[in-house]
Amino acid sequence: MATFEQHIHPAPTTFLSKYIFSFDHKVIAKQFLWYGIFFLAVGGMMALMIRWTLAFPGEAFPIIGTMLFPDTHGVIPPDTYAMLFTMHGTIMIFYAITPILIGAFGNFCIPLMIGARDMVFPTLNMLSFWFAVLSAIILMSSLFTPLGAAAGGWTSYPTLSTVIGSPGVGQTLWALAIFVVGISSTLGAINYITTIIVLRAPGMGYFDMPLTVWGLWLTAILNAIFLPVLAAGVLLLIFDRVFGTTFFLAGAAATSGSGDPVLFQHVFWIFGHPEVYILILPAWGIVSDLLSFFARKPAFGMKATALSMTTITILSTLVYGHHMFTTQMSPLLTQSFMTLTMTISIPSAIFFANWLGTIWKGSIRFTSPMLFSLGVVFVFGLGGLTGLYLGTVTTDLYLHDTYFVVGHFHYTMAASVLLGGFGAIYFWMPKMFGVMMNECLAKVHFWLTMIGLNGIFMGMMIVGYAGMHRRIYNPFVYEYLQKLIPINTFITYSAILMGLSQFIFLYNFIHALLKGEKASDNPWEVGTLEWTIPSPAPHYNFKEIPVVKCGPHEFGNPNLKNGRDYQYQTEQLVEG
Amino acid sequence: MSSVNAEIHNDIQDELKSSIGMTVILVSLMMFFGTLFFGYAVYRFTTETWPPMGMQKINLMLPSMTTIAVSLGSLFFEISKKYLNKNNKIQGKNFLILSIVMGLSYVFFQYLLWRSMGQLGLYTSTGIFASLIYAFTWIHVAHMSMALILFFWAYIALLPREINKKMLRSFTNIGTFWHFLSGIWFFIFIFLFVL
Repeated sequence: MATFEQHIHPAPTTFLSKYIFSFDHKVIAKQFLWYGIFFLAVGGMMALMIRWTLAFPGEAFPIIGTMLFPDTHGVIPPDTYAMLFTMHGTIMIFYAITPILIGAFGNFCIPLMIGARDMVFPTLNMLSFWFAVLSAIILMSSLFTPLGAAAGGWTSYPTLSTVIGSPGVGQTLWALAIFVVGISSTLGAINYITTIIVLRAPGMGYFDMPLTVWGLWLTAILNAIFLPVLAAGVLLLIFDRVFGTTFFLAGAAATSGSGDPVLFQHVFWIFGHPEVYILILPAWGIVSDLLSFFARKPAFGMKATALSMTTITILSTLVYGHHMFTTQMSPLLTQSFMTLTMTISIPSAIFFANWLGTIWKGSIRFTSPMLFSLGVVFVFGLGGLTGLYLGTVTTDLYLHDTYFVVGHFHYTMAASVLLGGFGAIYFWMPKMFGVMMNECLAKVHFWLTMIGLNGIFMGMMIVGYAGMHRRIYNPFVYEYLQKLIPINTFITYSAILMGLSQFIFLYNFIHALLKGEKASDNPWEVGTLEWTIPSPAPHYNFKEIPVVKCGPHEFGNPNLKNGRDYQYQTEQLVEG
Repeated sequence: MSSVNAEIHNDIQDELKSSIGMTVILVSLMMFFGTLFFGYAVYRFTTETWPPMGMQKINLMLPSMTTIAVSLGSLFFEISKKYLNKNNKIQGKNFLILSIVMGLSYVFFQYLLWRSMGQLGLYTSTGIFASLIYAFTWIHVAHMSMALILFFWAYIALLPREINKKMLRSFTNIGTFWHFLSGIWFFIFIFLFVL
């Protein structure tokens, strides 16, 4: 394989070049991390407000309620409730999970794990972050507009999102923000794809890359292909709202000729289903690595896992129709989409089995990253299995738009990704900041989060199965749903528990940054390339570009005689 | 590694970086415009008569002029690149200027098209027929403007430098972007104006 010269750039000297407009992938990763954590808190607070309304309808939101909603004496009004669930979904997906998993860990891990000194296009990388900031400013400013922020759901289906459904400027700003964040992610994707192809260390074939890199690479490919689809959709939506075009207005709503509101749904889900995998692939990759690292065993069926992830990536582009079974699709189409959706179970089952194979009979070290990884195995299993009911036409017709859907996608997109993200933070903290987080607090954080999130999402699936629809301000005006008040209250208490447990993480994180124990170069005893350099990683990453001689998961080799149970990727595989 | 070898090596790296990066950008743009054409197909095939009742087809004069302008822009840019490859900076510059003139003509023809549509009573809110033409041409002009800015940048920033492989690579990328947009315009011309 060809290897290329990579110059060592001089270290930045000014505050601006070092921390604000930095070209260094590690600094940009940290910027994305702070950005993502901030929006995780904002989105989380919105989630608590939604849950409060569903558990205690008509009661003032505690502490900050009267300040935020003085006209209703602290009670969340119905129109604000619609804004809250819209902004919660949007913020969590595009401004919290994406920046943390893809922005932060993509930027941090890719060059370090493939043995490169930086991304291939550092300027593009910096621009990617600042486009994300611009997008966030646009989105947050919509909260302060006269009629408030977008309220058409994170999917923003017309006619809810047209000027008829959402007359204020908030929905327009939402669409603009999504368009800009799309540019940010596409710039990132161009960088990730090219960097992985061009800058892999000498000797590193594609199957020598850690699975984290595989996950991020596949995500970048999906981003580059499908974000432009959403961009086109929201751009037409902006035209409808600002210039009076009639793409998504139908019948009497359009002055002449006829638009098609369902077209937006098609466009949205052509992007939207791959988006699920865009979010989850990095977490899968990270977890696949962490399970092997802490089971002290080579990743079981590593090539099969990588190929399964690739197969899922390809199949994810063909199944979007299962989100639209209730839009009067022809039975031939629904059956085709159902069959294609079911085929995703095959590669999913393969890599899930590989996860279990990896930990089977391993010398498991129950560190915090491992606990979070095992958590992902559990919640993703639940999320994946419940997806089968929604991918099947007959059961989906009953479950569509109920809280069962909300529970399912939170298990897959929120719980798995959140736990994977936390696992990644705990794991790469030493290399990122040069300090260790407190393990005891991390484990408390894990268990409380795990109990909380299962209380929430399991509860959601139960109330959804019982017929409770999503996005209703006060479902209990319907007699048949009144019996579900206690379980909704339980879900809300679980949400409060989960919310409060994040303070443990915040305390641990900030304490580690300020007074944390200094990390050694390789505290987890792992052999991937980033652990061959000092902690925190120096600005040039590698003094000499490493030469890769073995895979990323060389553990438990009985021929090793140096007292270690692992090998660095730069070491020749020891044979008997 | 000897300095000559290192230079060749860096050239290969730059070539690879540039071509992969550009390919990803073009794939993204293809998906973007592909979505718009997908939307067009849905509207077109679900409407019984096209243009819808009470609307008339756009006269082909201005769209044809636009097509000629973008095609000549592409051609002149390629000739400019050819001269630069032969180290003939003066001719390269002349043909780049001609490309810029063609780009500006394209924008002018688009402006005339919008004005003529207004005179026909076709406004953005007139219905899906007008909406499609306005949206496609606006989006295309926005992209072509970016390409034009790159042309200007090439004229101001690239040409004064010594001709080398890096500069020619930048030229090739700008050209690829323009040719891609010319191709997109060709589809717009056929689907929205001719058929």
